[in-house]
Amino acid sequence: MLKQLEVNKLSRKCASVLFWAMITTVSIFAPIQEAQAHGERNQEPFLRMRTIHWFDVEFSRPANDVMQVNELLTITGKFRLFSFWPDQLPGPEKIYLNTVSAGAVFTKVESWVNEKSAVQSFKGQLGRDYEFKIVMKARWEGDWHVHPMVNVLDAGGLVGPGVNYTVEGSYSDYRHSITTISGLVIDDVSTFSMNRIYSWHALWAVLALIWIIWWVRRPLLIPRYLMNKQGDYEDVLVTKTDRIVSGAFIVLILAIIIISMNMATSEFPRTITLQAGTAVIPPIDEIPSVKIDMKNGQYFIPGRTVIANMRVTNNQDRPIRLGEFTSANLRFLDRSVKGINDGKEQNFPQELIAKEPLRISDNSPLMPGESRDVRIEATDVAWEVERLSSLLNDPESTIGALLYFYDDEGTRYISELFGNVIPVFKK
Amino acid sequence: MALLPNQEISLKALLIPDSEASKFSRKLDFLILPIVVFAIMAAVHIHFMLTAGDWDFWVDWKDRQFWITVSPVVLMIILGAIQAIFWVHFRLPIGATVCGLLLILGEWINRYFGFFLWSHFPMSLIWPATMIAGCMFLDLVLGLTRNHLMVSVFGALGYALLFPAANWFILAPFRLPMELQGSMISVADYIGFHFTRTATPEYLRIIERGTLRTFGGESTIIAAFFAGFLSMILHFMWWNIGSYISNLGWAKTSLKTSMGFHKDDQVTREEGLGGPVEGIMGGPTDPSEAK
Repeated sequence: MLKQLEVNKLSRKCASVLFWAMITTVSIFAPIQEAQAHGERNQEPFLRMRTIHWFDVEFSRPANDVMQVNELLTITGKFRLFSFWPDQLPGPEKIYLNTVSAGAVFTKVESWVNEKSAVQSFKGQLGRDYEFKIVMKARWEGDWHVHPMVNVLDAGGLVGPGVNYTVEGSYSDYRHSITTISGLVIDDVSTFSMNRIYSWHALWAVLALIWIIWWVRRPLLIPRYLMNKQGDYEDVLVTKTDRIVSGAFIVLILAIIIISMNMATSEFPRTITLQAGTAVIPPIDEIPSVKIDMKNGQYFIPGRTVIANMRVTNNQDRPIRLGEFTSANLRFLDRSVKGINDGKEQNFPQELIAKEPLRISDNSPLMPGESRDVRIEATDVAWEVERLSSLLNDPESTIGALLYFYDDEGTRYISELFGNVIPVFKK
Repeated sequence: MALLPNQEISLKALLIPDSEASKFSRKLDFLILPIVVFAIMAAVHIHFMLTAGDWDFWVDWKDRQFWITVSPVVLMIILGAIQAIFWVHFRLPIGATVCGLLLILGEWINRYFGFFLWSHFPMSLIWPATMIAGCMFLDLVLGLTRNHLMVSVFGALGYALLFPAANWFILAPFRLPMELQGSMISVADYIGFHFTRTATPEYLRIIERGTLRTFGGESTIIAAFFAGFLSMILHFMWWNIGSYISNLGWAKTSLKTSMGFHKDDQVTREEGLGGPVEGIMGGPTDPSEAK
C-alpha cells in the first residue's frame, strides 16, 4: 500500500515536471509576431461606410519606404462627414484630427485642417468636407502601419487609409527641439526635464525609506502585536524619541516643499495652465454633386460583389460620367473616365484599390438635365479581406458610399450613396 | 485587551534579548516583509491606476483642478485602511508611507516597461506624480499625536494640500508657455500633441475648462482644500473600515466537519490560534462559550 502511494507521488511529480517543461518550451520557442495594425478591420462596417469617407489621401513617401529616425512624412487629403451618419452614433460635435500607429512611433509635428491649426478639437458639420495636412516625424525603429484618423467624441476613432513604413535607426537618436515664449530652448521634448524628475522622486524615496527603516529596524510583527494587545507598552511601542523624530520629519518635509516651490517659481516665473479650448474650423466650400436616388442594393456573397441600382440625374451643366465608387476606404474605379484620379501617383495603399474595374450598366456621358437608371457592380476580394462583408451581421443592413462623377473637362462631382443592402447567398 | 495565557508566555519569551523566540520572531519579520511589499504594491498600484488613471499617466492631464482633487482623494481610500492596519495591530505609523513608496515604485516599473518600452511613449509624457510627501505627513502626524482623529483632521488635510505643492517643482517646467501654429499652449500640451495617443485624443482630457472668479479664481488652492476636505472624511471612514476588517475572528459553523474537524472539535484557549477576536461573524467572543 505504502509502495503504491510512493509510486503515485512519483508519477504526479513527473507529470508536474513535464507540464512545466512543456509550458516553458512553448513560451520560449513559440513563434511571436509583432502586431502591426490597429484593429481597423475590426470596426463594424456601418462605422466605416457611414461616418467618415476619406478621399484624395496622399502620403509624401511611397508605401514600404525605408525611413530614418527624425525623417518627416506628410499626409494630406480630405474627409467627408457623411450626411447619412448613423442615428445610433453620436454626431461629430467634437472631433480631433489624429494619426494611428503602434504607439508613439511617429510623432505629430504639424496638424492642419482647412489651413487652420488643428491642435485642438473642433465641431464638424455633416455632409461637408474638410481638407487636412499632418506632418509626422519617424521616432522609433521598426515596421509600422500609419494612418490618418479622426477621433469623434463618444463615437471613437475613425481610421483612414494606412501605409506601411520601415523606420531605421534608434529611438535614442530622436530629437525634436522647441522654444518657449520666454526663450527657453528645449533640445528634445522626449527627455525634457527628466533628470529633475528622477532626482526629485529619488529624494522622496530616500526620505520615505529612512522613515520606514526607523521603525523596521526594531522587532516588528509578533512582539509589537502582543505588546500592543497587552496594552501596557504604549510608550515602548512609540517612544518619546519616535515622537521627536516625527516632529522633526514634519519640519523637514515642509521645509523641502516650501524651498522647492520657491525655487521652481523663481526659475519659471511665467507659467500657464493647460490649454483646453476648442478650435473653430468651418468646412471647405461645397463640392458640386450630382443627384442620386438609390433604388436598391445587393451584396452578392459568392462573388464578393456589391450591387447598387440607382437613378442618376445630371443637375450640372456639362455631360458627366461615373468614375469611382468608394466606401470604407475601398476604391472601385473606371479608369476609362477622363480626369479620374487612379491613386497610383499618390502613394495610396494599392491593396485598397480594387483590381477589377467598376462595372457600370451604362457609363456613356449623361447629358445635363438627363436622368438614367444605372446599375453598378463593385467586385473585389477586399470586401472579405477588409471584413466589410460582415455588414450582414449588423442590426441595420445598409451601405454608404461616395460616387465620383467627372465631366468632359475633368471636373469632379461627389455624390453620396446610401440605401439598403440585401444579401444574395447563392449563385 | 488582555492576552491569552499562551500569548503572555510568548511575550515574556520575546522580551528576553537574544532568546530563541525573539530570533525566530525576527526571522519571521523578514520572511513576511517581501509578501507584504508585493501585496501592498499590487493593491495600491492597481487601485490607483484604475481610479486616478489618466490623470497620473499623462503630463497633459495634470491640471489645476481634477488632477489635484482626484489623485489624493482616491488614494486615501487605501491609505486610510492600510494605515489603520499597521497602527491598530502593531503601532507602526508607516502604513501610508509604505503605500506611497510602493505606489511610486510600481508606477515607475509600469511606466518603463509598459508605457515606454511597450507603447513607445517618452518619459516626459508619462512620468508619475509623487504622493510620498503627503503620505509621510499622514504617518508623521500619527507618530506625533498617536491619535487617529487628529490624523483624519490635520493629517488628511495636510496630505491633500501637500500633493500639488510637492509636485510643483517637477511640474512647473511643463507649464511654460509656447506658441504652436498660431496658438499659445503649454509645454505639457505640446508633448501631449506631439506624441500620438490614438485612443486618448485631446478632447477626452477631463481637465479644467474654465474657472469662475469665485475665491479669486485660484483653482489650485480651492481644489487642494476640497481634496483635503474629502480626504478628511475618507480617512476617518477607511481607517474604521480597515480596523474592522483586519480583526480576524471565527464563528461557529455547521460546515466544520467538511473541513476535517470532528463535530465536537473546538479550539481551546490552550491551543491558541490567536483566540477569538470580537466575534465579527456573530460568533461567541470566547471559545469556551462555543463548547
